[in-house]
Amino acid sequence: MAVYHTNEFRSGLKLILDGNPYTIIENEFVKPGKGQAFNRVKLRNLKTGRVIDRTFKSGESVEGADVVDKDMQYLYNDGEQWHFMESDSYEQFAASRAAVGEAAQWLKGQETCSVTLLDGEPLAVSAPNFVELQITQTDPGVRGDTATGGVKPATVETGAVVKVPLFIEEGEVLRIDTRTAEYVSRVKE
Amino acid sequence: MQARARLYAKIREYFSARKVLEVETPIINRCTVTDPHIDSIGITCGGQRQFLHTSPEYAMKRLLVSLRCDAYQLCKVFRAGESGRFHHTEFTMLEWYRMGWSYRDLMQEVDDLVRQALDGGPALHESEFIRYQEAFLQYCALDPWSAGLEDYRSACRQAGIVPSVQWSCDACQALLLDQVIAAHLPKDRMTFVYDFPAQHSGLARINNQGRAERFEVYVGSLELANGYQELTDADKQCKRFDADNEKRRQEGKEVLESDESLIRALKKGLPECAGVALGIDRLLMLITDVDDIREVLACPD
Repeated sequence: MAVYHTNEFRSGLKLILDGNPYTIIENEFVKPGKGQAFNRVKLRNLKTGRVIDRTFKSGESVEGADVVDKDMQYLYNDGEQWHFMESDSYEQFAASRAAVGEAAQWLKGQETCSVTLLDGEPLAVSAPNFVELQITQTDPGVRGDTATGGVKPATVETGAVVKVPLFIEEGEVLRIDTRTAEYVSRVKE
Repeated sequence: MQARARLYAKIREYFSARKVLEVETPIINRCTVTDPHIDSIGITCGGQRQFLHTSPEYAMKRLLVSLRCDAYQLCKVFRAGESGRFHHTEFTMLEWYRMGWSYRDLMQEVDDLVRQALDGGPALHESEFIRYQEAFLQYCALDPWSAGLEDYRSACRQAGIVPSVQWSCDACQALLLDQVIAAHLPKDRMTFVYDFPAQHSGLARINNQGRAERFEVYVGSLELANGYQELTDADKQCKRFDADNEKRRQEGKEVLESDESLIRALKKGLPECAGVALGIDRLLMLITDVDDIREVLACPD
C-alpha cells in the first residue's frame, strides 16, 4: 500500500487514519522561521462524511487509502444489499445499507451512480444529482393555503418524501435534486 | 510588481540615508546552514556538491569580519519543501547587520523600517514588545521555563490540536508559537516576541540567564522578521554546528559539513553586532493586503 509523505499532501488525497478512510479537503503548510514545520490538514471521513482537523509534523508519513470512484449502474436490491454493475467491465458489486445510505431513497433501477470503492469494496454510493420519479401519493392541494408556505409533502415511487408545490398531483413525474431532496420541475411524459 | 519596485527603492533609500552599505554575497556556497528545520537545495556545480543559500547569514558575517561596517543585502534565498500560503521555495529576504548595536536597538529599527515601508498603506498602531515567556503565559497558560512535555501536549489539546506521541517539547513550542500565540496577536500592529529559550537560539547569543537574545516580529499571525544578538564566539558556534548535526542524525536527516570558513572568520573576530532577516514577500503581502504569498510573486510555483 502506498505511503504518503506530508510534502505529497494535497486536497483530494485519500488516507487511512485510525483505520478509517479520509480524503484531504485542505492542507496548510505551517512553519515558524526557526522551528519544526507542520501540516495542518482538514480531512473528511469517507464513511461518515464528518470533517476533522489533524496536525502532522512535516516529514511524517501516512498510509494511503486505495479509494476510487467509479460510475456504476444500479441493478436491484435483494433486501440486504444493493447491487451495482460497472458500465465498462460489467463487473458487479454489492453494497451494504451503510454504504448506500441516503442514496437508497432515490434508486429504482438503471440509474448511473458514483460508487466509491475502498480496497475493491463499495464504501459509499452517490445517487445521480437529478432523478425522475413518479408520485404515488399526495393530498390534493388547497388553493390559497399559504400557511404551509405553498408546499405539501408527496411520496414518490421509491418511498422518498419530497415537498412539492400545491398544484402537483398524484401520478405526475417529478425531477428531483437528490443533493437537497428538493423538487425541481414536472417532467412532461 | 510596482509595489515591489517601490518597496526596494524605499529600502535602499532608508539604508543609504543611514550609511548602511549594500552588499552582495554568493548564492551558491560549498557549505550550508546546519539548522535541522531548514532544508537546503543541493546542486552539482563543476562536479562538486554545492548549495543554494537559505539566507545570506554565513557569507555576510564572513564579509563583516573584513568590512567592519553596517551592511544589508536584498536577495533571493531558497528553502526546499517550503510551500504554502505564507511560504515559497524561492523567496526574497532583506538581511542587515548593525555593528555595536544590541538586539533591542535593532528591534526599534525594524519597527521604524516597516512603518516607512507601509507608508501609504495600512497604518500600524504602536508596537507591542513581549517576552517569549510572557507570550506563553498569556496565551497558552504555561511557563516555558518550567513546563514539561505533558504541559505542552495539553496546551496543544486545549487549542484543538491533537498532539502525536512523537512530538517533542521543541516541536510543541514551535507549533504553539506559530499557531496559537501568533493567531492571537493583534493585526493592527507589530508584536515583537523576544528572549527565546536556548534551544531555539538559532545563531543568537545566549545571555547569563540562559535566554537566547533573539526576536521575532509578527503582524497579526504573520511572521515578518527574525533577529539576533549575533553569536560572535567561534567555539560556541562550533558547538552549535555539532548540536544541529546531532539533531539531524536523530531525525534521520543528512549530516552537513560545518562551515569552517565561518568559524575561521569568527576566530579573526566578528565585531559585536545585531542582525535581522525580514521576509520581503510577506511585507509586500501586508502592503498590498493579500493573504497568499503567490499573489505578490511574479511567476509562483
